[in-house]
Amino acid sequence: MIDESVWQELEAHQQTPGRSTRRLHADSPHDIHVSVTHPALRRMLLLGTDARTADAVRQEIQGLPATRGLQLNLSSVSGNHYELQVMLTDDELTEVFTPLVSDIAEVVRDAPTTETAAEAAVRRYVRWQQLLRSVSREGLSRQARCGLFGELHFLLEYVLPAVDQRIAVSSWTGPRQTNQDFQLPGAAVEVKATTARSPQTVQIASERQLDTADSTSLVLAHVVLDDRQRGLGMSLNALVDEIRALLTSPSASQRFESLLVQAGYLPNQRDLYDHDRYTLRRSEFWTVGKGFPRITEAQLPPGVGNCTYTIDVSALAAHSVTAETVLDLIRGTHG
Amino acid sequence: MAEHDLYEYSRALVADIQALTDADDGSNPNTFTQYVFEILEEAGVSSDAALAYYSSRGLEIYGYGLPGDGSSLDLYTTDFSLTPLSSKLTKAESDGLFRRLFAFLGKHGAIRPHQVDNTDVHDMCVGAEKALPNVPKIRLFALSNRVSTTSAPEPTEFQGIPVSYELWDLARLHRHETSGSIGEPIKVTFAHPLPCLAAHSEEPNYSVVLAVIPGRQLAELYKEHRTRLLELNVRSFLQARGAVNKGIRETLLNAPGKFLAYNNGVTATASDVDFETDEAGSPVAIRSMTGLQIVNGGQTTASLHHVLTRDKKDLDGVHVQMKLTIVDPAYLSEIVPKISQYSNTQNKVTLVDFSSNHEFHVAFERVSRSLWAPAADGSGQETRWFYERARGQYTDKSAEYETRAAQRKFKLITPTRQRLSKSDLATFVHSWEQLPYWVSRGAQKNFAHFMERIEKSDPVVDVQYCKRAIATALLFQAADRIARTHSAGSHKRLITTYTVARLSLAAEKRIDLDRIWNEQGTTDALRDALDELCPLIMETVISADRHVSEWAKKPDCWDEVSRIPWTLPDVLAAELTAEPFEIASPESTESDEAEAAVEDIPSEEWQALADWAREGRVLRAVDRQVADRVAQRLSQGRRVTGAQARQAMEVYEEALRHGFHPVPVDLDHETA
Repeated sequence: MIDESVWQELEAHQQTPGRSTRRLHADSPHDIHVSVTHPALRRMLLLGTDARTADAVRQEIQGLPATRGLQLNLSSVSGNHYELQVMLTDDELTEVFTPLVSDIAEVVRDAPTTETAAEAAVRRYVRWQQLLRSVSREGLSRQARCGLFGELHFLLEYVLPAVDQRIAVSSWTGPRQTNQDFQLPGAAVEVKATTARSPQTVQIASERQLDTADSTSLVLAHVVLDDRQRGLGMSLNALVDEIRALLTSPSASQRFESLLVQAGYLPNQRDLYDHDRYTLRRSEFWTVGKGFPRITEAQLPPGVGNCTYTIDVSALAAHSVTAETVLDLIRGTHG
Repeated sequence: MAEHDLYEYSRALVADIQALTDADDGSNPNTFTQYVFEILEEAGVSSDAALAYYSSRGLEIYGYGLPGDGSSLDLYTTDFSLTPLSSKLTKAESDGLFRRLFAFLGKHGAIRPHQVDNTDVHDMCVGAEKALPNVPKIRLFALSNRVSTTSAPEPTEFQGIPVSYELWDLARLHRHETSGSIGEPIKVTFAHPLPCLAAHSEEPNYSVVLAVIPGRQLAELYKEHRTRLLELNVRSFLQARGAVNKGIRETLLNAPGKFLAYNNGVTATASDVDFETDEAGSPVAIRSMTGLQIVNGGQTTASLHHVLTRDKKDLDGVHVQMKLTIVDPAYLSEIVPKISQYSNTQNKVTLVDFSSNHEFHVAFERVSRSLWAPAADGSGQETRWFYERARGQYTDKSAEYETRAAQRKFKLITPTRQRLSKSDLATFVHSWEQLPYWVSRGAQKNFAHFMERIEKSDPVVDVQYCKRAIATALLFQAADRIARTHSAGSHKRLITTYTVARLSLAAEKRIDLDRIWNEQGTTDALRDALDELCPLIMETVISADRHVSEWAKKPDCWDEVSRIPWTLPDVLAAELTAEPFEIASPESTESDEAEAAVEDIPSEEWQALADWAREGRVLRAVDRQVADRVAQRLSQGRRVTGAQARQAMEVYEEALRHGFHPVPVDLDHETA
């Protein structure tokens, strides 16, 4: 993980024009560096690569759309050595850049070959571009705000009390676009938040979301919220701050910040989230298992994919569990 | 052009590029770009081009060139396809290529700060930055191995500097490689037909007219076409390529009206001329000329251009006499060199035949094709080295085999890594002969120098010559691989030639070339020595405060490299032969004379010469070492032979010129 102090150290490092760099993931076979240029103090992530890989990613880089404040360059160092440069070009994204760099570096770290490493880096970069585009000016959409509130609420009320904070934060995988929002050793949890008055259905995003292929228990949590402008409820910011206050471990709080950014909650857009206040009306929990009404990948005819579907809540009565059971599942002490 | 030919050429080109890329573990588009660089250099279109790749959104560049004469800033971009015939390069695509390349002009200043010093891209940005305030024009090249459906865009400008666009697509490359004549023929159209006087000619293949051409027009022609206008000019290969003559310039500046009287004019040839005729049908004026070549008067032309562009004189009232010979293209190569040669006989110009038909190349090809290289890899498969006297011979040869199996066999016996071109040979031999600064001046210049030396020494090209020359190739290739492991990068070629030269110097050329040939490879000791030497060379040649490729062209660089404190490792010293290796059998009388002359000078005097040079800081370090070595050998009663003796005598004469007075050491001894 890298944080602001790494950049500051690099920035203070030298007086002469040039670059100061620091290697990340020394255990990785790939050359990954963070770097700061002098005197302009541009922050960069560098990935060393070779000519063949350059041939493979050239086209893709040329075809990328523009993102204000970020740049991806491919540059030949000498002979067959190249480097991919992810560069911060606008101070507005400074706080986003650190989690972005850590995320790309982490994905690259374990790539088996130079070629897959570079391809993964470009893919991740594209994802960040999409994220930044989607929250460009107005911040997260209403639906995304509500979804994030639901996930954070679940983290605060059910995961943090049950397991060590580091495990708790790491288990929140929603921002990383995995199939479920929480992945704990004993269970996976998919949180559905809604602001509908009396919701009759839950929306399922894909055939993988409720697929329990790997035998861990899967919990579907339904968080029903009431949202008002300036009501008595809690704003997204207040909820974030409450969790921040609980995180005493530096590594956990750093990871949490990075995940927030990946979820599209950008530090420089904080004031957009002050007005919406949420009050919890109720939470419902179901365990997904035998006889649960769902679509799984195995059932689909070959060629069919990306199913979104709804489940009528009334059909789930038989699968309902209590909050206690959910906590047990999270702790891994259930059954 | 036959569609079929283009298809064949395209296929062979892709195969060629892929083979070269695989051998180098490189990138196809880069290899292709380098390949076209060589073609363009040979064609006199551009020179001093280097690879440097950079891309970001809306910007892509593959390389750049800063011709030594400061005439332009060249930028290159590439479109390389592995299936070039499945699609064409559309107008939208080529415009996009040029647009992204043009973007570099505006952004180089922003790119430079985030590069490490001395990387390809860093050097390119620095080069562009330095060139932009001074260059008269910018040229953007797009290179593609697909057929383009459009022509290059119209000229534009960047910050007031004219920008021209050049599109080299598959068809143009193919035309160039097959026609033997280079590039597109130069066509000149006169707005007002140029009056001329036709001479009666009985000869069927050519006719001659005389005309007086405005100086400005000639200068502008040169501005547009540069050395391509002088392709057939004997001298254009020599140092005077586009040189400005002081006297001509003075006349132009001070007495432009008298220029016609003082100057000899130019001799030109054209393959086709469109005349205005009188009633009798004889030519009275020239409307246009196609395939114009100035075969004599290159200096006049270059000086006119210089006065127009650098001295900013408009050349009003300057007229130049022109003798124009219209030659049927089929007879071009036969007649033109003669015109050129005979018009030059009053001057002392050494005529060197640079063509691939020079007897040296013919002999080298003949002998090398008869040699079987010993199997080195234990496969028992003997192989051949393939000398490419003319471009494309290898590909043609392999295309002669109809079946795949036959082709495979050809490739097995003649692997691509064992093909060498004329200019490669010059590189290998010159590295061994300790002329790395010549090698660094580029393939073309180095080759010209190589041929001049061949003319002088006139070596006997026999089996021994070929084996030893090829051994220098093996040595160079070994050094090249080692330079790669040291990440010499884009300067690899320079580093390699300097490494080989320094090793050759340290070993006094006593590295066993015959053994290298017999083993088709280098010994461990030799490789270890190269490995040890390479980083030292890099320190000296690549330094932050100099432009590396410019520095490497200077003899001073070799001077500095030769002074690197380094001695042969003992293991290698044990492998050396007693006598230095000369590639050619010592045939020339020049050597014999030199050998005798060297021995006429006592060793003490050589020592005195070396000491004198050291104290007075005259002569180059290399020369002092020669004197040292000769003194040492003579004092041990050993002989100084061949090239070393010639070199020693040159040093001796140089010392005399610098005021060295030999002190008679022994009164009975007559000093030479």
